[in-house]
Amino acid sequence: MTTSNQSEGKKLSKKDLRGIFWRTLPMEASFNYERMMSAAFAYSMTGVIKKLYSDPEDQKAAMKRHLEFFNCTSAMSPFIVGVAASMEEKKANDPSFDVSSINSMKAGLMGPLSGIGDSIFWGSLRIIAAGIGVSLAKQGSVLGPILFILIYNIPNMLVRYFGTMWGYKLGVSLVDRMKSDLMDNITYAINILGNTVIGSMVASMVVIKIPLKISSGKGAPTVQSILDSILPALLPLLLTFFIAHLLKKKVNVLYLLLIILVVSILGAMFGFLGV
Amino acid sequence: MVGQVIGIFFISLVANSQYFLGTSFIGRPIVTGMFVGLLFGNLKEGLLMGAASELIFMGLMGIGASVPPDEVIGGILGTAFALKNGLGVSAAITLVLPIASLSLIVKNILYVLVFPAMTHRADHLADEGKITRAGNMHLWMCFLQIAVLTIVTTLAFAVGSNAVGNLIKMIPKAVTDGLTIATYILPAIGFGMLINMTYSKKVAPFFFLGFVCAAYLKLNTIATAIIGAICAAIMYIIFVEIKSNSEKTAAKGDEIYDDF
Repeated sequence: MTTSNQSEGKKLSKKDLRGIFWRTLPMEASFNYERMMSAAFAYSMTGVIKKLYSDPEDQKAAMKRHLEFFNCTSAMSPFIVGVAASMEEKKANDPSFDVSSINSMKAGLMGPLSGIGDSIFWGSLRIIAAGIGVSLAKQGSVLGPILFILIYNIPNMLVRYFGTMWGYKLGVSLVDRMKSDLMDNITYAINILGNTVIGSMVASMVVIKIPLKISSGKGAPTVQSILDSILPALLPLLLTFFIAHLLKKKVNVLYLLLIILVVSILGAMFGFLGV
Repeated sequence: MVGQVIGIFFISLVANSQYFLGTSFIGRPIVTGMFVGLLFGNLKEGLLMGAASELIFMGLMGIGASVPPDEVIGGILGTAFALKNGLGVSAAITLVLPIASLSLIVKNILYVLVFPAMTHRADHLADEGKITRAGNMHLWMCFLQIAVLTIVTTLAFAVGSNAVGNLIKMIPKAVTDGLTIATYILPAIGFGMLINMTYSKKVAPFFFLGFVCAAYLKLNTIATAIIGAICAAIMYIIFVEIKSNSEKTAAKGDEIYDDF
């Protein structure tokens, strides 16, 4: 069975893509502060991974890839899952495909699409829908809540559905161009984009503040103001690389989690950490 | 009263599933107001209350990593307390505030400790090759969150806001503040994992370019991503050019060699 599959090339069907659409609906419902929407992303990819890879080792590796950090506006996420699915399809048919580009692509897309998605869905569409809904509900009409749900969710569901399909199509046309000698360069370009966005997210999404004062008295500089004058977001940068280093040394992540939690509570208790 | 509690249970069960059901906002105050109105036998008043609390919560939204004040619990209980005690919506909303902060503490425990631990369980399941079960861990998180928030909403309605306020006073401030601080530090673990997967010396300059764009220039992610895309395009063009040049010189070399 595997040999015949390999000769024909493994391909995702429309049905598989519809499967992604359904699986991405609860995208935001397992949010957490460590890897944000990673479990939801992995769940969205499970069907695809099982279809594309027959070797358990390949399945394992793919699943681990998609259990990495992910965060994006819920409605825009299916698009990224679609792109990721097309890249996994490429990997399944071409073992020489560089998988680091898959997570770089996700990182490169999640930042900008969150920015656009938050302002479209949270900032505009929800406000428009609520505005119309509230004006009707104020007159005591049940049309208020009903129109609110429809005005928000028709575009929401359309963007989710067609986002999945277009993401996959875009991904396929992109990886088709990643043939032969140009492939390394495109992978490299994707990694550049991804790492630029990851660098900016480390600076903006990890926040460590030390409000301790250096000396007593009014207007005394805080540790934080001195650190900021050396390099803003210095501590988040150091901590992130330190954690990356520890993880490479196979330190258990749960210990890191607990240490951060305990230090945060001690920090709040003794005032050496703030928000 | 028992009927009301059961009714609130079902309303909050559906409302708290809004993120599970495609972030469809079916738990917003404008929607739950209608159902709470029906439950108290006063649909019109429920709609008016729902509209009023929707306006209160409309301006609040979660951007990036921040969690907004809970409009689901706030909307349901605000409307319910207003209808039950004959209060105005804004007075009822102030009754909801202690409950909203309890729900934030509960959510933070889920988001800081429980869900990361469950995600690590998914890692282990994936390591053991149990792909389906690893993926389904996401569903268990969804269900756990819906269950916990539904229970908080229902219990809070049953015992009233004073009891909840007293309960919150018993939780040390360092714990709630510490949880909030941890929510800002924890993403470092996620980024650490991501770095191990994508970072290399070849892309290090661009990682720091992105870092500086955000840390010093305070550019948002869209602007930084555009700069990253431009860098990617420049590097791509340079590499393609180098490759075609080296092919040309190689070809030339061949020709020269042929002449001899």
